[in-house]
Amino acid sequence: MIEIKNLHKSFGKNEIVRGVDVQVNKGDVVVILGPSGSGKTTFLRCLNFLERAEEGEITIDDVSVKFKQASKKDIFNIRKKIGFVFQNHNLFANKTAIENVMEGLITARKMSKKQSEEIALEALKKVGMEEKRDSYPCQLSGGQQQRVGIARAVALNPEVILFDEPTSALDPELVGETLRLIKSIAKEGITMIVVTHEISFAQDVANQVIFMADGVVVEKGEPNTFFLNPKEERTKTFLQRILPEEPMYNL
Amino acid sequence: MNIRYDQIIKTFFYSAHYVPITLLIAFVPVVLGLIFGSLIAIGRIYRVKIVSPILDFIVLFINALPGPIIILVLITVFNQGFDSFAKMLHLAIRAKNVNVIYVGILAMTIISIPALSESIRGALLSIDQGQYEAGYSVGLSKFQVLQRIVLPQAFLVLIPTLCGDVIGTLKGSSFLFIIGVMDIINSALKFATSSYCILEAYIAAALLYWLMSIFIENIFRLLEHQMGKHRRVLG
Repeated sequence: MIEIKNLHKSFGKNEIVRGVDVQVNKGDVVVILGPSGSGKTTFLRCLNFLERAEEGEITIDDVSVKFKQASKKDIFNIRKKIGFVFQNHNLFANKTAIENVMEGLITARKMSKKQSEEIALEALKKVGMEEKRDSYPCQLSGGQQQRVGIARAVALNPEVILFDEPTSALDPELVGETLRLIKSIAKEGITMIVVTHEISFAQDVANQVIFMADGVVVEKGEPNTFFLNPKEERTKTFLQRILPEEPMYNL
Repeated sequence: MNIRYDQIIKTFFYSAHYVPITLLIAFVPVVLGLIFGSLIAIGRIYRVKIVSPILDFIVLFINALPGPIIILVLITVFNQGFDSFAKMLHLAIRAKNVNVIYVGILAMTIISIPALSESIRGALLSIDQGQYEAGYSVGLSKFQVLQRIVLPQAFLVLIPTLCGDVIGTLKGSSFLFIIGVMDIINSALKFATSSYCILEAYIAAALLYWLMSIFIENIFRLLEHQMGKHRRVLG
């Protein structure tokens, strides 16, 4: 179980995230929706200490860390439990696909080369990239790079994987296959928090949908209630604007 | 005007013996400059408190000085201060027993540091922030991210400018002839004094510098090719 309490984050005088609480049960897929600038990406980045939040606390299993007071060791321990998939992939440019997946295992987890290679290969198979194991990121398409990025997060076997708009930088035709991949990984019972604009993904895969605007959680609930019966006026206008007549991708 | 080609050739082969020493007084400062330059560049990029503004000032200060002034100041300080310094440390060595080449190498190191640290800083800044973040997200420390992800990529970006810096230091080291370091220029002039073929000596020295530059450029091209496997080829 993962619990985030009262997260606040400002950039200068601009308070981007203004007290967000989220609870995620083991195996759940939480999808965070919201207009641009609502603070959802910043929220996600704070969980992994890519941004330092000014206030709030994160609890994963039995480990609790206050964002502001966290020491290097606390940050390392929290990052160990969290996988991150970036919007623009961020594969290590100087490493091949398999080396990208192995890097965290060898350097951070101190695994042997042989063992980490086995795990990495397994992860690459899961995302259908084992044939490209020796390709450098520049030799891969955006969709392929994102697959390796997902394998890199999965291989570390974290408690939760955070997806920061994983399909926003992809060609429309690659969005569907990447979402299908994330869905298949979700089916294995891996806990996920996904920031996305893909409504059909939220409808289809999420156990919990969170709608953020202006740095706060406006509404949250199960997808059925959330999409069919939103309570808040702000949610209704948002959904009216973006809800497609037909699902855009067949998952 | 008569140019004596045989004198060019003779001087060329005489001065060719001083190619190793000339390369040494360029190569050692570049290696030392790379080490100090990297530390300065990293200190400035991470905006380390107190240290960073001091480094900014030092880089600006040295960068503004012409090479010959640094060389001449160093040799003057060395000639006037070395003996008493050695006495203070109870060393038997005296200034007249020290080869000026060490003063020359020190001078060239000081001269090359600002340029190299700026080249390195530029190369480091060219690496996307996402590479750091990806490193942190898989559990690497700041140092590990630098060592395993950022520096290898930055070095590839650095190679073309580094090639220019090495050749620049090589050419700049020719100023060391004013303090009497026996390099290509000094040896060519020494050889020419017996025949008064000064122009020929300069031409011979120029040819040697030309060949050394081609040699260095080719080494760097090879290095870039070897290390650039992960980089997309343009066009």
